[in-house]
Amino acid sequence: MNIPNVEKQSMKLQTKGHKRHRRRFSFLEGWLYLLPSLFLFTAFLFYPMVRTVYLSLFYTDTQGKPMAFAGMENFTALLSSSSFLLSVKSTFLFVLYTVPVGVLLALGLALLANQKLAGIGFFRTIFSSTMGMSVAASSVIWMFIYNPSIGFANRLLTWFGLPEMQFLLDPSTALIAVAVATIWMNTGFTFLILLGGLQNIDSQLYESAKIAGVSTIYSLRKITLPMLSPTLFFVITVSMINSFQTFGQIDILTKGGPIDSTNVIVYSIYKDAFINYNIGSASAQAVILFLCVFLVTIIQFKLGERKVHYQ
Amino acid sequence: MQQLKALQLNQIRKSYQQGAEVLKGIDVAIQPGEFFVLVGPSGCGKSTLLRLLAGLEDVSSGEIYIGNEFANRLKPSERELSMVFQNYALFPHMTVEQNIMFGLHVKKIAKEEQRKRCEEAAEMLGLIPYLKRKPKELSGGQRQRVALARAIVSHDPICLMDEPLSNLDAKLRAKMRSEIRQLQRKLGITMIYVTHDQTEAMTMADRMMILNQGVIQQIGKPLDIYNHPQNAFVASFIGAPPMNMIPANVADSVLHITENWSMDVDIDWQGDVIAGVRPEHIQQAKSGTPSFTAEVVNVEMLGTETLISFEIQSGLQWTAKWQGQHQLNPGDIVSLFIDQNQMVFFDEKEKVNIEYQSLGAVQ
Repeated sequence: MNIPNVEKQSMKLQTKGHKRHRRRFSFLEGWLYLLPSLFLFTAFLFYPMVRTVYLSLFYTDTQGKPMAFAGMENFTALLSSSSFLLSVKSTFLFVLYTVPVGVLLALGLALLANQKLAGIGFFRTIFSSTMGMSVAASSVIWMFIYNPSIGFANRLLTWFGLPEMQFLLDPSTALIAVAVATIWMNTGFTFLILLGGLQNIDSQLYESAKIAGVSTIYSLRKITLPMLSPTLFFVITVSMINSFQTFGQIDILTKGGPIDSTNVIVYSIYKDAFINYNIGSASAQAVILFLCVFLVTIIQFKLGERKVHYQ
Repeated sequence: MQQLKALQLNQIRKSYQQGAEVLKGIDVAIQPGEFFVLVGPSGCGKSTLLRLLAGLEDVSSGEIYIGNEFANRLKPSERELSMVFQNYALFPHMTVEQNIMFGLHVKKIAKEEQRKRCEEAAEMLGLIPYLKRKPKELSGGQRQRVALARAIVSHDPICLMDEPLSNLDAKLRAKMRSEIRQLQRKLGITMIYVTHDQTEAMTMADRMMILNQGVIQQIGKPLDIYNHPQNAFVASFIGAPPMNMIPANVADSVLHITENWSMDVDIDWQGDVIAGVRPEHIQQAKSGTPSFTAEVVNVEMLGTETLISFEIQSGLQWTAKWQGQHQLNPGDIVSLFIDQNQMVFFDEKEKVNIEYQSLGAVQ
């Protein structure tokens, strides 16, 4: 038994140099595979990110070229500007309006569409169809719905005997109106992900619950929601980040108005950067938004850890 | 102790919207306290039958009686039965304890009684140290036990099991087989057990039903079925290695098996038959007994017995099972002897055991 062992050892010594050479080669090979995505990420993500942080520390000219070092002044100016604080408030309100309602709505639809019924495929397609619609197209649809004279929304109100409303022109309703449109746009994606999560739950768990005789509500609370929690967590996180970054529908429906009531941070960044040509301030806002999203996501992960059951 | 319950099935049929009938008229009465095994190859409809009994699916026609109650329209929870699923259906986010007690509140059992029952069941299955763990922290065998404990705590008089051992390794399977059997005896529940494994069926069942393509092949005690298979399907399905069979011909009480092998038989039959013989009934010929010779193709030594494969006809291999250890090699010529009383004959067309056919003729 000893002899082959000795042989093996001496062989190991001989090949050690070879091995090191090969390991280095496979290390380089690995980087080679990563190179295309590293290149793309650097060009379109890492570099702009670093550049934004850099610009946020400078006063800039209208071309966006840094002129003088500003330090924290872009930030202090923003934090004492009432219009930026209003933007922050609108953004958080917008997230608050869209995420919980959107996720609950999609969850409800997904639960309905998860039934095994004839023709359910039709409803699944309908419920997820908004996913295939661009923000521009859906915004135009909602523009018509909200139109004060020919819009469907006002017709519905008069049909119920209620007074007509100026949805997008009234500062007290504009943000909610845009939020409703956004919920509608996001439902398709959220619905589809949640339906996928529901279908991943082993049907034998429900059969077992059926034999035990527990109520539908009880099995929803004790089986479906815990089993769906990783998917729900994902969907909530993604919806929140999306909601923080809403731009398209605001640009088309309200352009940040009326009286800045829908001027969420991303729209404010856009206005500062490409209308007022104040790149330094816009960059500072972008950095603040980034920190907000980052913070909220971290809090979410910390809270979620306890509630989410990964299998 | 709960009341024992019988089950009665009358002409159960099940077909799905698209496709053929899965169950084609099942009639069976299951006695109270009986360990009843449904066995058959995959796709024979045995799991479907179990799901019909559980109320997870509706019958297309026919009647189910549980106890003396007409049960066709009862909900699963109203049938007073528990079920163990093939993949155990444990809730991954609950502890073992929560899993075992799941749903007990529905039966209006006090919290204290729930805890007591959970502890009883855990004690019985050796799960006490694991009560606070999650299923993913358990081994396959332990998960299996949790599933069993869940079936026990409800104190339902009937328990259904759908291939509960198929995810375990062979050694553990053998152990759990005897444990489940002992548990069933101790609790006196009526057990309906689905498996595709004929060894499980043979070793566990009080009585068993063999299903093939939605049709009952035979119902009876394991040994009766083994010794008197109703047809060629049952004969080849039950027993490992399976029964050896060959088309043969009977003329004037002489069975012609191959060109150079025929033997006297005492049956009342003329013409073509399928002759069958269990591997253990093909013995080593002693001098003086009528025998035939064959060339060994393969030998499997199992320690206590030896399996010898030989070619009886070109393209048809038989297996003999001899007690003890025999040093044989492929290519050796062996002398073999078969007692004619141990042979089983099936008619050529219907593949039915002629023993049952003559019985039928008498009746």
